[in-house]
Amino acid sequence: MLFNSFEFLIFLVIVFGLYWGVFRKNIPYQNLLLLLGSYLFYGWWDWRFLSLIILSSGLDFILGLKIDEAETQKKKKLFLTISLMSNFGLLAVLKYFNFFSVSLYHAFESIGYKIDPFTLNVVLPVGISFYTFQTVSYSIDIYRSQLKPTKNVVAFFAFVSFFPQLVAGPIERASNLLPQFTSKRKFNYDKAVDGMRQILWGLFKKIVIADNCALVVNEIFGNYQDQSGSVLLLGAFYFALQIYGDFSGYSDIAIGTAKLFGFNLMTNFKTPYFSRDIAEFWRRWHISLSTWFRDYLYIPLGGSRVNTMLAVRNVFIIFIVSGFWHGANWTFIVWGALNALYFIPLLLSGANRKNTNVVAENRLLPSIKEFFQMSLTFTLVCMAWVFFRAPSISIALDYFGRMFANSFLPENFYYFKPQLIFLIVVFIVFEWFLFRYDDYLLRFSKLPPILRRSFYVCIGFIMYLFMVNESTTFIYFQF
Amino acid sequence: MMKKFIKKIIYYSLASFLVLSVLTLAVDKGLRKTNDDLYGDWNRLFTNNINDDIIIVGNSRAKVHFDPSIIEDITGYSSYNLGKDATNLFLQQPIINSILANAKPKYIVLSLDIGSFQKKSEIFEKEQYLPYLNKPYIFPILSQVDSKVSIERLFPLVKYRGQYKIVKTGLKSNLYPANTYTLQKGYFNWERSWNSDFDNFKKTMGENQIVLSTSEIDEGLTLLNDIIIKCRKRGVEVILCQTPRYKELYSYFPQKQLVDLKIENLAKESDVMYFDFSYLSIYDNKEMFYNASHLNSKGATILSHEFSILINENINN
Repeated sequence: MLFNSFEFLIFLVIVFGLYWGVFRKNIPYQNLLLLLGSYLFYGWWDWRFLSLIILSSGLDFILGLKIDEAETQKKKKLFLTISLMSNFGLLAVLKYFNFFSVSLYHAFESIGYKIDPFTLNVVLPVGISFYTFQTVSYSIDIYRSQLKPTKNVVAFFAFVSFFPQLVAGPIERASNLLPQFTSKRKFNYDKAVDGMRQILWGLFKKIVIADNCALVVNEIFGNYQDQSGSVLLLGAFYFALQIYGDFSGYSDIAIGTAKLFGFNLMTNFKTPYFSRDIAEFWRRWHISLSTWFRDYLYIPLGGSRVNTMLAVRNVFIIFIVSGFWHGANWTFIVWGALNALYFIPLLLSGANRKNTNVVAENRLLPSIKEFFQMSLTFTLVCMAWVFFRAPSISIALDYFGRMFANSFLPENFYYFKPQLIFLIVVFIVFEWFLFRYDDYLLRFSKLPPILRRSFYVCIGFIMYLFMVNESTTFIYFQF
Repeated sequence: MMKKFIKKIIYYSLASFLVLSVLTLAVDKGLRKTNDDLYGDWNRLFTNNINDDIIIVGNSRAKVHFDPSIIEDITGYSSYNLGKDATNLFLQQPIINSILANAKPKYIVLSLDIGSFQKKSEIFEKEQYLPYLNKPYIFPILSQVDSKVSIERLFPLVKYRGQYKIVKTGLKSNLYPANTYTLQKGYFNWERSWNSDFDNFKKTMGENQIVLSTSEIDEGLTLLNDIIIKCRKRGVEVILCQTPRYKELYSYFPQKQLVDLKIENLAKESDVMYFDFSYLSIYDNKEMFYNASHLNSKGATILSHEFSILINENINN
C-alpha cells in the first residue's frame, strides 16, 4: 500500500478511527490493532512477504529473551550470533545471493575459467533491509545490556512491523520506539496537527517534486547518449531532488502518521542539501541509517579514535557497507566509496565536525562563503548520485564522459522545463525559510494563522495542479 | 481535543471541497468554449455545429489520411474528419454515439485496421473527455477501459488533478476562449518525410509479430456489426474502409488476410460499402509516408483522391 494512494487514505481513516474511537482505553487492543493493520498494509504488496517478517520478529523476540537470560557471556554471544546470522542470512540470500553468484562468475571468467552462475528467482520483499536492521539493533542492544527485552509479544511484533516506518524507515531503535508501545498513549491535539503538517509537506515532496523530477530524469538517463553536457548535468541535479523528495517525503509522511497515533519517530532528514561540507551532509541525510552504522559498525571498529590508517579504513568500510546496504550492485559500492573519498580530507584535516549548527542561523540568507560551500557540497553529492542512479558502472562512467565530451550547450531547452523549475524554486524557498531549523514545527506553529493557512492553501493547490497522476512507488522500497 | 482535531479536518476538507468544486465547474465551462485541437471538434459536435454529410471516424491514421476538402471537391458532399489518436473500435464509440446524438450525417466512414480490434488498457489523451464525462454515451464506454473514470465522474473535483495546463486553458477560456485550432475540419495535414519510427519499431519487435486473439477479432467484429445496425437505425449509412500502411509493416500482421476477409464478409452480410486501400499503389513508396503506419500529406492527398472517386461512383450513381 503506497502512502500516496487512495487505499492508504481509507486504511488510515479506519485504523485511526478504531484506534482512538474504540480502543483508546486499552493499550493491548491498540497494539493488536496496529499489528493487524501493519500486516494488512504490508501484505497489500504480497501476502507472502508476511511470513518473513513474522519469522524475523519471532526469532528476535525469543533470542532477545535468551540473550538476557543467559548466565554467561559466551552464551549471550551465541544467541546474539544466531540472531545476526539468521537476520543477515535471510537478507544475504534474498538480496545479495544473485549478486555474489554473478560476481563470482565474472571473476572466474576473467581468469579464463567458465562456471555456471547459479541464481535464485525470488522476489525481494519490500523494506527487508529496514526491518532487518531494526530487529538486529534490538538484539545487539540487549547483548550490550543497554536494553531490557520485552515479554509483550504483541508489542514487540507491532514494533517490528509498525506500518508508518515499516518499508522505508526511519530505522528505529528499540530503546526509542518499543517503550512507546507499552506505555499509555493519549491523543495530543498539537502533536496530531504537527503530524498532519508533516504529512502534507511529505506528500508535496513526493508527488510534486520527486514524481515530476522522475519523469525528466527517466528520459535523460534513458537516452543519455543523445544529450548535451548541460542536460546530463541537469539530469544529475534533477535526480538529486527526486531522491531527496522521494525519500525525505516518505520519512515525513511516516513520522507524521506515527504522530497521529501518539508515537514519536526519530528525525531522518534535516535539509541535507543546505550542508556546507560532506560530513555535515551525512549528519543530515538518512540519519537513522547513518547513526545505525555509526553505533553498530563504526564505533566498534574504533571510529576515528585510532591511528590515521585505521581511521581512513573505518571510513571506507562504513561508507562502502552503507552503499552496499542500498542494493546488490557495484554502482552502490562505488557511490559509497566516492562519498568516503569526499569525507577523508575532512577527517584528516580534523574539519569533519566543523559545521554542526544550522547554516545561516538566525539570518535570512547565507553569506557568500556559505553559499559557495553549499553549492560545492551539493555538486559533489550530485556527481555521486549518478552512480546511484545508473544501472551499471560503465554507464555511469559513460554518462560522466559525455557530460564533458559532448557539446555542453543543448540543442533546445526541452529539459529545462519552466514549470518544473518553478516548482523546484518554490520547494527550495519553503525548505530554506520554513524547514531549515531542527525545531521547524515549533517555529511553524508560532507563525500567524493567516500565514500558516496560506501555506496549506498554497501547498494544497500546487499539489492538486502539479501532481503526477499515477501513484508511483518510493525509490527506497527496493532497498 | 479529538473533537477539535476532527472538526479541523472536516473544516479543511469542506473548504477544499468547495474550492475544488468551483474550480472544476469553471474549468469544465471554459473547456467547453475552447477551440483548440483537443476540444475544438468535441465542442463543435456538442453544439450541433458539425453538419457535414460525411464524417470520418477512426484512429490517428484516419486523422492524417482523409482530407475533407478533397472529399468535398470530388463528391460534392461536405465532410469532417473525427479521427482520434490511439483509439480502437471500442474507444471510437463515444465519438460515434456523439455523432448520432448531435449531428445528422448521411455517411459515417469507419477507417479500420488491425488496431481497431486490438484491446486497450488505457485511454490516450483522456483529458479530451473530461469536460463531457456526464454525457451518458461517453462515460459507460470509458469506464470499461479505465476504472478511474468512475471515480472521476462520481467525484468530479479529482478529474483535473495534475492537469495544470488544462486547468489554465479552461480558466482562461472563461474570459478569452482559446482559439488555437490548427486542424482542417479535423484533418491533420502533416507535411513530414520518412522518420526513424519504423527502424525503432523493428528494433523493439525483433522477430515478434502483432497477433490478436480470436476473441479480440470476434468481439471487434460483433461490435462493428452493432455499430452498423445502430447507425442504420438512425438513418446513417456506414462505409467501411482500410487505408495503406508501408508494405514492409504488413509482415508484422500475420492475421491481416484473415481479418480482411472477415471485414469483407461482414460488409457483404450487412450490405455496407467497403473499400480496401491497404495495397494502394503508393504502399511501397516511402516518400508517401512519414512512418510505416501514417501517410504524410502527399500520400494522404492521393488516398483522399482515390477514396473520393470511389465514393462518388458509389454514392452518386
